[in-house]
Amino acid sequence: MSGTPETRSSLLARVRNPRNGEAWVEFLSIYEPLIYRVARRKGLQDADAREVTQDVLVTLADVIPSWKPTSGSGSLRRWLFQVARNRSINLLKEKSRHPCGTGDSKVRYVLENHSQPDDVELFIEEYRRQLFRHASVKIRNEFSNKTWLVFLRTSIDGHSVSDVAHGLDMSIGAVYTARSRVLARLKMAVEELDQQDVLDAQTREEI
Amino acid sequence: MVVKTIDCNRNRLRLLLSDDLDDASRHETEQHLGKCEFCQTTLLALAGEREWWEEASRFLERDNHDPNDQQQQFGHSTLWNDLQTELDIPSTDFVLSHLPPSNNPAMLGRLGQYEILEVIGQGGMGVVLKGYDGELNRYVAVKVLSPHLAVNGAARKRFAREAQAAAAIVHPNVLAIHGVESDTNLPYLVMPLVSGETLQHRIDREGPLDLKDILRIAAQTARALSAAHAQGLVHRDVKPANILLDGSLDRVLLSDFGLARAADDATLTHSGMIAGTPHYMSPEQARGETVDQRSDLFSLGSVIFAMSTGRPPFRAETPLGIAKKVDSAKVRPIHGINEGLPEWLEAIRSSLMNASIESRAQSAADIAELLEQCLAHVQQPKVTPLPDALLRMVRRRPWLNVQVLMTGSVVCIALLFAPLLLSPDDQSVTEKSLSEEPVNTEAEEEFVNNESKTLESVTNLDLNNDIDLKFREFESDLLEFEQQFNRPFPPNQIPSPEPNTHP
Repeated sequence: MSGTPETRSSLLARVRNPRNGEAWVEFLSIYEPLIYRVARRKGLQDADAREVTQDVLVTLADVIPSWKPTSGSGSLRRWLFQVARNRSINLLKEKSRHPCGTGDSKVRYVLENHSQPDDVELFIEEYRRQLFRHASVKIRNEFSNKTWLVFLRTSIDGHSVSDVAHGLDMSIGAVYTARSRVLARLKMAVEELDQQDVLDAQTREEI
Repeated sequence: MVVKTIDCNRNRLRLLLSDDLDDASRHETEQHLGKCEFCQTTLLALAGEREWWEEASRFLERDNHDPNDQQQQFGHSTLWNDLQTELDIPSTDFVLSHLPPSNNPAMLGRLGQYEILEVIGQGGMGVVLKGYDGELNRYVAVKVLSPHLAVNGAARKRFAREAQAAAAIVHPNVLAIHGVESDTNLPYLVMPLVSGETLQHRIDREGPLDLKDILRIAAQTARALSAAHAQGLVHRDVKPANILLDGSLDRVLLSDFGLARAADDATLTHSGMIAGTPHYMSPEQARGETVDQRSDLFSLGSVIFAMSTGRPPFRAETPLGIAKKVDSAKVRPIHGINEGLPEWLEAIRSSLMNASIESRAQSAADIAELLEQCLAHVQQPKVTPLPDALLRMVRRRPWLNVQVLMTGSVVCIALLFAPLLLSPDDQSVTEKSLSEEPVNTEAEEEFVNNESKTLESVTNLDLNNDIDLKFREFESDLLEFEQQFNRPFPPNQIPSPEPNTHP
């Protein structure tokens, strides 16, 4: 099942104003993987998780224009999470009614525990992950390959600074500079994304 | 144990982080950073609190566990894309391991009709090998395209096309191309073997060059560009590393015509990034727009800057960064960095490095001629005057006009008071200082001829003392003044600014 690309283009086609289109693309590129990951972590298999993602995004596109930040449900993020959770639970229920669906014991687990408090944490964790990933793709071209590699190797892969310095023929000081510059920029980009989380009213109207 | 020493400077670390240190301070700070654990910790903390480092590490880890996972579709792979292949596998080893063997065991291998003797060098574009052409009994340089470029079909085609076009340029300042082979696993170019070094090596070794060498190298590079431009070719990668200085003759050879374009094709499709150093790029090229021959002229200006100061005009890691800097920052005048150089060289540099394509110098041939005349003047100042074209160029630069204007007005005032201010001894001192000053603009020289030498020297000293600081403040006032009266001042010596330039 490969619903996502088509969903994507039909969702993208909803926005007529190219300026707002960008905001919508950015929104989707954060929330699409986010919903997918949450669904996966709730125990759904790849195909089901894709279905949930598609389903949620389509609902989302229908509801977003009228959604108002003051409508009581709190932030868009929180509301989104609720939609995503309810949808995936419904889907799981449906699947469990037909025996040909997944007989995974996780399904029952999810069904029995669908209002766990750690759902919120899970969602927030996945949200942060998505912000970091999106931000890092966004800032990637501001750095040379070498600088970027220094950051990945030291900060993500956990290699020692001296190994990386030696491997890339750089001084220890230059390695510290490179990894710190990338993190400082990443932090800034994540904070920006976090603040612009909610689409502005006009963008919502045009979706 | 973490010990804070006297060299630790938090503010410097902050500037290092935001890339606001000049080269020398950056180098010094990084050296200290290499030894000082305290500063290492401080720098990491300045970049982001511990949670940020932890979150980055947790959230950006590779998704190895599930290859069918949708993450691939969501672009996360861009983070790791091709970094390994580009940086980890040394092209040289790759090329050598893929060379077909030679019948002669003393050789490294064989490529087409060429026996490969040794590796001469490695650059962003490929590996340069020393080859022997048995049929013609001569040594050649064989440049093999880097594997990561060679695998890309579009890049290979472009490589072949551009190389064939470049091979058609026959000019003493263009490195000739003997042959091109683009249909093998290892596409390569065959060129004459040149003894000597690149301009980049020369600058790295000696720092700023002297005025004659700057003019000679710039003039010959401009000639090479002019020959290429006449055939409709754009070089696209004019930089010191592509300018060869023939060791035996005083000859300059421009190499790697059009290859940048082949590299762009490959890396753009790979990673969305442009290859190579962006330091010498024109702003339009850095922004990824279509470039024409005037882009090469901008790069020539950047090369003049590098020869004059020992470093490139803009430092940024990516074309995007360069584009931002070119648009926003003013380049520091080269005679402000290297005091031994005349202001008119700065006028030439800035006419080339004009961010606006239309206001930039337009023709490589004109620039070549201008530089040659300047060189003749420097070699024989008494016989050859500075060219008229240079004077016209100086006119286009309002702040030079202002300086001349100020010289004029200050001289007028000084004329009134001179007898009161200067004793004969003072005059001899100032005259001596004047003789050590760099050559002034022709406009100024002309002015000097019409005025009392002593007084000119006084104003010159005044001006040079804190000219860098005060100038910008005066600039707008004086220009406004000039515009108000809608005539140059003083009228008989100072040319009026040309309309439409620098509104």
